[in-house]
Amino acid sequence: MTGTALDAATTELLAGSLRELLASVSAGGELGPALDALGWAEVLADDPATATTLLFTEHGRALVSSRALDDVLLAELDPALPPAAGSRALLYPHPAEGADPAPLDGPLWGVLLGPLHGVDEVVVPATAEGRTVLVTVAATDLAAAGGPATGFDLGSTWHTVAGPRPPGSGPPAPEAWTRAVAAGRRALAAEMIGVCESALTLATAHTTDRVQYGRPIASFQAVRHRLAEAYVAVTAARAVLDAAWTAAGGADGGGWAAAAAKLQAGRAQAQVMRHAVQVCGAMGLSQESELHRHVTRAAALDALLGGHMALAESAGAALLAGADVHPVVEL
Amino acid sequence: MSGEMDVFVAEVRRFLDANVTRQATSGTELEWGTGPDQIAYFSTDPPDVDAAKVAEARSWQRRRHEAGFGWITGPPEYGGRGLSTVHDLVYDGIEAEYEVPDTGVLSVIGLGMIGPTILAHAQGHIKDRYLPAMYSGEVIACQLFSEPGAGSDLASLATRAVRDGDGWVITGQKVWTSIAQHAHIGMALCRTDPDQPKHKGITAFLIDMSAPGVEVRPLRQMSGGADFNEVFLTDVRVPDDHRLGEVDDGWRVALTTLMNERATVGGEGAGPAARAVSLPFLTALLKANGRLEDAASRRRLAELVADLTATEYLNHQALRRMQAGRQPGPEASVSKLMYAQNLTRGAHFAAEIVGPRLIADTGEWGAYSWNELLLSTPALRILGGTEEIMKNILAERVLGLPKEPGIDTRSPFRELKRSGGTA
Amino acid sequence: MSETTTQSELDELRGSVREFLAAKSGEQQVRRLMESEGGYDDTVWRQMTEQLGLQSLALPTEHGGDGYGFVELRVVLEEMGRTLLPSPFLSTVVLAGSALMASGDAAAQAAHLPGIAGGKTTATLAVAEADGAWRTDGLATEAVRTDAGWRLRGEKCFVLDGATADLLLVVARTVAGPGLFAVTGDAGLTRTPLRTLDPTRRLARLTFTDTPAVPVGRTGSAGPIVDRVLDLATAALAAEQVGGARACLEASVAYARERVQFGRPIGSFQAVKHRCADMFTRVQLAASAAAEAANAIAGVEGAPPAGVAAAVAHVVCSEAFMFVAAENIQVHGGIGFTWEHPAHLYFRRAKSSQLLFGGPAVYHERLLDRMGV
Repeated sequence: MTGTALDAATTELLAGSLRELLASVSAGGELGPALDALGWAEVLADDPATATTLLFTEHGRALVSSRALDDVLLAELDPALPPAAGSRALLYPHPAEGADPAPLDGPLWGVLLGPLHGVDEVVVPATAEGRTVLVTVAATDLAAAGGPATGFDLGSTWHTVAGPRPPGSGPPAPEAWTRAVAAGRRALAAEMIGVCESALTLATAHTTDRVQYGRPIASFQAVRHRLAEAYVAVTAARAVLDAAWTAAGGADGGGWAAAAAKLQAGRAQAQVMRHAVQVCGAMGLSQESELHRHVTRAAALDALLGGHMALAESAGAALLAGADVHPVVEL
Repeated sequence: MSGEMDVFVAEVRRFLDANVTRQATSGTELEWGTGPDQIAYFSTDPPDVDAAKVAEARSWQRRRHEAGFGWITGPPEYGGRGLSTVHDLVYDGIEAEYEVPDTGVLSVIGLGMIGPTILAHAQGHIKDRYLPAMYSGEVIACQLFSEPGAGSDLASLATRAVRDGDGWVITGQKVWTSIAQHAHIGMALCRTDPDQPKHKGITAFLIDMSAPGVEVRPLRQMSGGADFNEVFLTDVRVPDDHRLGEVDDGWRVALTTLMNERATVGGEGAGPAARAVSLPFLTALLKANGRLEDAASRRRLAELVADLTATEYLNHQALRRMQAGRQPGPEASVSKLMYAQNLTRGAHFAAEIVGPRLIADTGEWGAYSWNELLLSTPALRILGGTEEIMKNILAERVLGLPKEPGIDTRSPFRELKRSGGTA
Repeated sequence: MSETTTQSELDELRGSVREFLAAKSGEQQVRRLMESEGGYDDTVWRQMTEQLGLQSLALPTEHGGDGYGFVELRVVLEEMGRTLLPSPFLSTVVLAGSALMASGDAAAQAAHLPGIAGGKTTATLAVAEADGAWRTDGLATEAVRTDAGWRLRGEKCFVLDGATADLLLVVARTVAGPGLFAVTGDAGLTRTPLRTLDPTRRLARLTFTDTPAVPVGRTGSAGPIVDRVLDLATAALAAEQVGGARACLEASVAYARERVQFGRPIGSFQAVKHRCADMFTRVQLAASAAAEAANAIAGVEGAPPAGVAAAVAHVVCSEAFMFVAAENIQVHGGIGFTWEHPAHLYFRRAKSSQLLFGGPAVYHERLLDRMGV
């Protein structure tokens, strides 16, 4: 499946380029063309695991909001779709529904990761007779039903779509959708890990600089132990994500392992954010601090394609119903 | 319970019965989905509503004062009643049974902490000028203590006060100042001698908040509202008779203030946040979300309700003990830690139940509205003394564990390592 | 009665019980009894009656008791929990004593309570069967009326002090519903002591083979009796748990003050200091809950309903003792994990107490039930 794996030095170099590139995106640039200029398609083809994790970790670190995730899911969906008539975007199931597309015979209900300018058509997964079908809708037909998402994460470009569904159907593609969700969950796990790393960096810097009682507050155990626990949570999430990539070639696209990776990353973000806010003290409560943007972004990412609580519940329910235990790592 | 207390209780009831109505007995007939969809901890009121509430608070305080309950523990010459702290707590306990305006804007800081400090440390004519005005609701006071570089370690504050003729000139920055936008006066701690150890060179002043050079800027907190302020002091002139206590003896004055940070035993049970994190509301939430029969949810509900109820018991017992004339124990600290923990757990529990509807507003009642409380819970563990500092105090003062060694209390302030670097 | 017991009288009661237990239930004595067959010291049991009148304290005067109530009993139980006193007190006085009182059966009370009050009779209540549930429906053990009187058939499990109790009160199903029966002889009775996690608290299996038994209370009335007993028993257990938890907190604090690492007492490190503060917080909360439950049962003015307060105390004190017993080992480090150190005895007691009446799954549901959810 994969080409040459990226070595550590190349990965490091790429990470640096991505950081610069994402900084320019934060400042108003376009992500797609910038990635093309970097030759990202080749990097991705060579080593999808490292490349995807790298891109989304940096995406998370930079708190960028873009439609990069669309490419990940569409790469799995495209083979099941008619040829594209221009550039495509994806309508995600509304976070309230986890990863289950809305019924085809009901209204539209989902989120877009960004505004639709420059987009020609939108792939709208829907559920018909218990199966996922992929409906392709002209971007202009969705414009009326969409609006910026009001919610928790003020910095995101997400749009909520809710309104009457344009007529039409599309090919059934349950397997493709399952694979797309798995791929999306791996990318989202990486992105949450990036947000966590960045929050930890902020918290570490703050507690090292901040002096109370004549010493950096990071020298007090109550503070350092929280940071250590947060670090452990992120490391565990990263380990599960790496393992999930080894299962990605499997029949269901490594769905079980991808869900586990997203679950673990979702838990990690909850823990990291709790600790980071506490060690930053009153400073972390102010909107002037960068920290709250991490808190809200991480929570929003956790909710997309199934939050960690929902994933834990469905995994538990599946196990109790007699599902096979797919080990995430073969020992 | 003495006969004298019974007489007092009867008098309180007479006053309240004549002026306000009793609260409807709470809880049982909660109707899910009706009423304002608001679960806020901090105020989310627009400025005009906020101002109206302040006016209401001042007017209720004036009526209390006229009836002899404005300053129960204060000396009669300044409009006080000359009774004990226990009487004060008994009054609060009874008043909580009635529908009265929230007077927190006056009472928590001004009347609770700064009034007693003025009484203990100000000159006679300053007491005459401010105390009756404060306890009749006319003058609102705020506390100018915390600074960007001095949070938990308050004694490392850097705002300077320099003598200038018969007065002082004050320059510096204060932060996390509640109610500064409403306050007429502020009690400021300032550095007057940086060559002394940090606790020694501090002096306390009363500042006229309308004086030139005082600038109040709202500080927007992560939950979205702006309940706190930054206060910038630039060459603010203060007459010497507005000094509290001796020059360079301000730390002792500050301790008077902080010691009066009154045990709010049982006083935190009100407000929309506490109503939301309660058995009837959470049960309704579970029911509305089809989770009432779910074992995991039931278990978390039971764990939370057990702690909420036990915290209530703790508060009732503390109140009963005080009504029987005994001194408050460490219950107040325990109650405060538990209060923060309970609300935090409650908010996170609710967040799990409403799930993604917490992060995107679907317009559903009782779903997205949890986010203000959720985003406020970190503050409960930080503001007014971080959880870490509270635990230090419990461990050192109640359990007798040794202090953290190596904390410098001897070197001159000028030589201390500090955040921000300016001394 | 309890209303007239002043705080200083309660303090005095606590003082004398503490002094007595310091002499009779030190760590060495507890460890000796852990290894013994009966599991408790007969002499100490007698002295508890003769010197302090503990068995009779909360029993009614008409049956040889002193007529005090739960407020006073709580103080005694807290002290017993503090030293892990191995004793059939909980089974005899609380379980059996309350069951007899709740049965309203004057004849049974007259027959058995004076013996309990006088320290001559030990007793227990057998409700749970193989699944450990304290309930009165769906019981396998049955009572049948024969020409020679009532006979019991079946098996009871997890019976507190069941191997040694003189009087066994047994809940069994009858055609008229669950009933309470007294067994005083050994005919048709097999007692099997069980290995226990907590060697200071003995449990047994009882097998009944046409065992002669005498009904207590109206036949079919065991449901409400057991319900009432559970309120009292969980409130009593909560008091014991508070005592045990307090002992753990005190041990941790003492150790944190004296143990030096990195040149300073470990109690000066925030990780240890804050752990102790957390323990203190949980113990205070538990103490409040146990006190409120005792007040509620004693009918003190202004107290909440007994069922609610007992259920709250059962949850809060079970969790608090478990938490504090585990943290106590952490504060002690390696030494706390040794057999020689008493920390594990408290850990065992904390877990066995938490699970005695069913454990978290049961006590959480019980609380919700009592609160009307």
